[in-house]
Amino acid sequence: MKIKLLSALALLALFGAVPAIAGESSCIDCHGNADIMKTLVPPPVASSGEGEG
Amino acid sequence: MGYVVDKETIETDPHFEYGCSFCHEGDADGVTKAEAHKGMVKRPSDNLDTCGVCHEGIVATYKLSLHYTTAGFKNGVSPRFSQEEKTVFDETVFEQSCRSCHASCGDCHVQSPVVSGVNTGLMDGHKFVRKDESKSCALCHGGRVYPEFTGDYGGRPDVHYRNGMSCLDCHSAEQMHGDGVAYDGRRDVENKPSCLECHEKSLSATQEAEEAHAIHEEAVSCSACHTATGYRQCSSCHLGEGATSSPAIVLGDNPRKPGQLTTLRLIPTVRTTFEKAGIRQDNFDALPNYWDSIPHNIQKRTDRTRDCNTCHGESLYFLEESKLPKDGSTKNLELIR
Repeated sequence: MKIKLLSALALLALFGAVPAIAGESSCIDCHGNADIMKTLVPPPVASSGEGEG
Repeated sequence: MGYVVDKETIETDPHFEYGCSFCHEGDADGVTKAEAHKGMVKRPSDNLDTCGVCHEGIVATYKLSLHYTTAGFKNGVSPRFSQEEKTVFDETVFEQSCRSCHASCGDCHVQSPVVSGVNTGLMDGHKFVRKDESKSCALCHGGRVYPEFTGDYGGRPDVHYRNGMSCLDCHSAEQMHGDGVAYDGRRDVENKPSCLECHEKSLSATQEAEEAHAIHEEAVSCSACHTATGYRQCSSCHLGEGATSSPAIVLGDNPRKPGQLTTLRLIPTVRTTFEKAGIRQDNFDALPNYWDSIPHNIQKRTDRTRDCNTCHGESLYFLEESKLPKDGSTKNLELIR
């Protein structure tokens, strides 16, 4: 029983903490923020050449 | 916006449990974009085994499915080639071009597929979308069947669409994910959609309709009568100079089921299609320029269901020699009634 409990606690410590890490990763700093993404990936500039409209 | 991830999804969806880099690799601790993206995998599900870690069963059958193998492209055209040409085609054209159209898991469930360089980004903030045909099927099948289905090419939308049905109501998820058999083409698929699955022959609305169905049963396909209006013939975009670019209903003998009158679609392969790859198509005339095709603009009542004379008197939509593409396959003549 003690072994099972320790295993469960170990698993919780290992995997339970992962979502928090995922949420705090630098990926989400940018990809979770539309304003930052707009500055990092500006929309393409439409050409005003022939064919427009 | 293209690659903005929905934070709520990240917190609740188990797909994100192990962090972005579990699938995308890269460096989750990177401070700059360049650092974070170093070694990043843009499309993790291009390697199906990424999804197979959890979805082992689906990945095992999907690896053999036509959306992944694209075997239909190869087997549909290869009878036109000599043995030597088949080798060249497989190594160059097929592997380097046709195969690039295979669908990964993510193309249907995460990000709309990129078609002709047009990238519409994530379907819904990186949610793993169970189904959204308008953002998945519609992009790859947007040249012909999807706009026919929704009425975007003019005319009334397909009766099934008007009644709230979409692609997966007939083309089930099981069919999309494959059944573990590596089929040569979609017509060989055992559980492919069939009108008769829902429309039992004995349930015709009127006696007149029941008689018409009984008389035409084996000799005429459902679509030959129930296709409402002209559908896209591939000449519209692909046949090049001199092509007639107009939708049309074309009725002729089914090349895959001789003796059955059905709707035919002009296909884009011409004698010069693979010239740049050094393939002359030595056996070009082994196949016609038309395949049997089921347009997705079905209606209950059409000019053919209303009046026998449309076919039996006027032969209104029947393929004629004068309508055949110039320098087409000699096999086309066999499709004329």
